[in-house]
Amino acid sequence: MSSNIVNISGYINDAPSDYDYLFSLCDRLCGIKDSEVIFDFTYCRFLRQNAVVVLGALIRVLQQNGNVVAFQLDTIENRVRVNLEQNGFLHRLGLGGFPWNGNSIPYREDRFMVEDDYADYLSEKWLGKGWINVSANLRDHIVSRVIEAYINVFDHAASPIGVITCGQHYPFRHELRITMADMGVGIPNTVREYLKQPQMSAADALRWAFEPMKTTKDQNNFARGNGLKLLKSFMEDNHGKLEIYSETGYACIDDKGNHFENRQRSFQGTIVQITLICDAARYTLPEEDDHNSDEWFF
Amino acid sequence: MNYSIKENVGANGITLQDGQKVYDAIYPELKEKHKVTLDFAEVRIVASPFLNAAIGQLLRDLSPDDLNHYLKFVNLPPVTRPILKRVIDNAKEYYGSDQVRQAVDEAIGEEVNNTNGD
Repeated sequence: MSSNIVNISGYINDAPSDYDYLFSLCDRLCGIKDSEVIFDFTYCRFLRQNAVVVLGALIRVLQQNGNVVAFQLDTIENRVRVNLEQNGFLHRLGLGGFPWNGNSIPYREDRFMVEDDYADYLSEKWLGKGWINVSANLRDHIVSRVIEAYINVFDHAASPIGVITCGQHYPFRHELRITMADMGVGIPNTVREYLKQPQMSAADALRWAFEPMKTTKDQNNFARGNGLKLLKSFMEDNHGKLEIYSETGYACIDDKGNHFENRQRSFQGTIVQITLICDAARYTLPEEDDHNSDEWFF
Repeated sequence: MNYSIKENVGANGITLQDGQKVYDAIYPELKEKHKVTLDFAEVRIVASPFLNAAIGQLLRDLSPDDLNHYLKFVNLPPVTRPILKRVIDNAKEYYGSDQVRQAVDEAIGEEVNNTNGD
């Protein structure tokens, strides 16, 4: 069995250039089969939640490809190790340490859809820790929109590892970030196949996926395709930031507008990153109205 | 017919499968022009796949007029209302008629060609 040593190095944040680094790792390693892959963290100084998620996804793909994955734990700098223990990453991979309450939203892997449990995770571990003072209605509103991204993975992505999630509270930035990653077919591929447009660029495919009244359908032949649009409109209404990396496509929805681009570096699946501000006053909740049961909805 | 989402599906209406369960229960009643009341009391999380399957697909062969007359929603959470509206608009667009549906499917490809390159 051949052996590959992988050095994880530097401060890995969540800017596009950081993702380029993570995607280059995936490019290099995802084709390896039936080998030993050893992760060395000697030169790693910081891993943001998105890096943890991509690393977790990469490890699961390596394992599915018949590789034996090992960590050189003694090379992990203390503060990086503390973070990986706190968010439960090391524990989930059987590498010791028990997670504890801190600024992390726990690392989790969902091979199959467990929607009620995931809704509880978002409600309690993400929004329910007092970092943002939301009412029960606002909390349910946010969870209703964000869970659309989770459902999309199981409805459309065909990801062999399911979806991996991790988040972080940044008290000095007054932000909550959560990142989900799958290793499925990618949004651009799904759109291209549906539209029968094999030459469509990844950025155009993402743009199409966000446009209103662009209806897709599933095998049962009923109208679909609202999830991303609902998530987008929530971010636009509430000063959040939604970023999606899929294949070479990158989409960013924030207060500056909607930005789509084709990047050089490709990622096999899809990453969704959501940033919320920790100020409940900035959120708008659909108002109670004088709705009555005789209202015409159709 | 009174149909409680909480009693039949649970506090969350998220998946297509749960939505299909609702559809299977209410569609035969609506088709026979019986009144149906969907009760969302104590329902917390509602996502679009659930509503696509439960409500959106009713428009496949029931008319908006009939649905307005025979299907009522009670205790609908305010946060669910805009999602329901969007799902219904989407489904109306898609199921408007066989011709519209076919035209939409075909036109989408042409539109995309025209929007490439920016």
